[in-house]
Amino acid sequence: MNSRPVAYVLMAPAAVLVTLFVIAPVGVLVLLSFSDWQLGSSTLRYTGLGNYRQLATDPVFWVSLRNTAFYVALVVPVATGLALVAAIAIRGAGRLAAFYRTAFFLPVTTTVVAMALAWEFLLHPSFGLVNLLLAEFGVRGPVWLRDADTVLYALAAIGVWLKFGYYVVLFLAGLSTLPTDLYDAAAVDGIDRPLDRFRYVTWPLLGPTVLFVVVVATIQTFQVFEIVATLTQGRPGRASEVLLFTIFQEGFVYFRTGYASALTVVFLCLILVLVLAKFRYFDRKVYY
Amino acid sequence: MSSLSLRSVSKRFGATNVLNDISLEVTDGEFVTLVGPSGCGKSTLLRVIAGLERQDAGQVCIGARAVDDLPPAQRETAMVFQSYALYPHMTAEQNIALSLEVRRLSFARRLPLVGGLLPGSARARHAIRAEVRQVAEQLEIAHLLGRKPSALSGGQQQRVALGRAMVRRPSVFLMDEPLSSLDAKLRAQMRVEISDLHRRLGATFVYVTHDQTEAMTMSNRVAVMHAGRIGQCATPVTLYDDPATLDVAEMIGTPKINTFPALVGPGGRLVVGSLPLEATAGLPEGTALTIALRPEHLVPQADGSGLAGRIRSIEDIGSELLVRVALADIQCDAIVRLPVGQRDRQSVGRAVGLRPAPGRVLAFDRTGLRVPLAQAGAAAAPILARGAAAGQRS
Repeated sequence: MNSRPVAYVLMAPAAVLVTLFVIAPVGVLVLLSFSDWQLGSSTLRYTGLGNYRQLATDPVFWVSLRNTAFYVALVVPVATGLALVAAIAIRGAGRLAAFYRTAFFLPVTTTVVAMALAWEFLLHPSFGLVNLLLAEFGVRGPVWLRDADTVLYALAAIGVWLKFGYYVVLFLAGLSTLPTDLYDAAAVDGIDRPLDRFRYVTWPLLGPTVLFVVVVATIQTFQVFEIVATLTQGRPGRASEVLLFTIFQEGFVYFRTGYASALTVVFLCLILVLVLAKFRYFDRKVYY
Repeated sequence: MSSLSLRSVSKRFGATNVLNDISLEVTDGEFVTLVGPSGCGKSTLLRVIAGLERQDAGQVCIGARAVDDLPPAQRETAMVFQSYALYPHMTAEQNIALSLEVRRLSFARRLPLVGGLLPGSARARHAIRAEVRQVAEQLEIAHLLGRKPSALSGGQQQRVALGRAMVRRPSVFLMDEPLSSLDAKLRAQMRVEISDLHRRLGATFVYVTHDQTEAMTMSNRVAVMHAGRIGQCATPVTLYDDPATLDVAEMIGTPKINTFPALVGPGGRLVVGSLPLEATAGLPEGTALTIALRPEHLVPQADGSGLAGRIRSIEDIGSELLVRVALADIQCDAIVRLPVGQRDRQSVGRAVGLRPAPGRVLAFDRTGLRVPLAQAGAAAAPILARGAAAGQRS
């Protein structure tokens, strides 16, 4: 019996949905990026590479790209590094493991906007907890979210806090797949100090998980938006302007949909590079 | 080289008594096997000896030293795991060398690049390489040292795991079902090689297996474990001929020992079905017992007397015949081992009469403990001593 018609029928719902909600919008987006369309406008003119040419010389885009890259470079290593340490600690925490796992995961489940407000209070220059604590040690804390020198660090700290529990869970899943026999063998071999155990067993065997988490974290961190939109709006100056926020402003505040589309295409290409890198490594798998 | 002694070792996991008051003395250079069905606690006992698991009560001594408070690495034991537990990201050579490196080189010296620059590192590494090579040559894996475990066959991985254990020159080798993931042919070969290795090294071996053939062929003594206890620890021959409990009798020997229900008849004489046996027990008339007979100790009678039965199937394995006989009288099947010379005389469906070989009947009471028997008519002297006669095969 020919099973191909059946296969097509079974595939159809998913194919239709993916086309309708992913492929078609991206297609429209690419088309719009070659136009000067404004949201709500009834006319539209083909401008070729005009939007992209403008983008290449737009200082806002370059500042935004640099800020985003800086934010990613801060958040990804700190969040994944802390998550790995926390995951290993949780594995050894015995009865308290479930508590810590939940506590770390809690921020992931919350509404980012609400949490951003809580952070705004914590970081408030005069009555925020952070600066009150600093004052206890005689340090005059900066105006975290209003100072161009500190705003990205403050946002990065919030970003780490928001996401790190998710990476803890991913690392815990990875750690639970490591064969316990190897740790036993290592203990008999004399590898019984935590640092040696990490170096000779955990780290090499966790390689694939680490790579996976780093890629996922990079993709997620690239998409930083809510905390910027709620806390700083890209200010002061353009010190906290990030890509998604720029796209949002161009598209939905200034209604320059064509230009926003071009920005989005660039953004998608950046993400695509990461995804391709991930698939390249994962299809070969870092197994031994 | 050291002896090993376990004194009243107990271990619980939750409500389960995994190890129940286990005492065992292993002399220096002895090969002792722990055998038993899965879940009997044999692997846990091995892990307690290695220090990977802490006992709740009792003491473990290696040589003259109590090792209860020592971490695994300081117990002078080496362990070979069922899964081999080789480090998958390291070559065979690195796998074998690692325990020496960790012992002899400081953390800084073991760092890549930097470590090599520190004075003395090169000399220490050179010595380690030489020792690894020597062990690899003993195990005939010198040509495989550059490969990672994934590029090695099961048997080769097994040798690397043995090498990793040997290179430290431990006084006690602990082996946890090391052959169970090999195919039958390789297993038979490795059995011989591990026995050879034991002779060459002269070290103390404690070997865990559920395969009684391994236990019987390799060991000086075998400890048969059941539900967290050692049922009997004795030489393989003693276990086979003179088991202390029904569990031991059933665990040892292939095919499994035959068991039949029996009663103590008038004058203490044992009766199976309607057949009185040539054996008496000093128990009250009417006591129910289980008697056990090895397949070679059931003898077909030329005149058809004895336990009447019919041949149900014949397994001809070339060197001997294993004949399954349905015994109508007691509603049991019996396996009879016959020499191949009888091949032409047996056929499926044929009626036979079976009698136990004289003096070979083993009897057990309701709790599974051995009951001493005397030859019927003779004086009351027991023909087989009861219990755990500990001997040593040389």
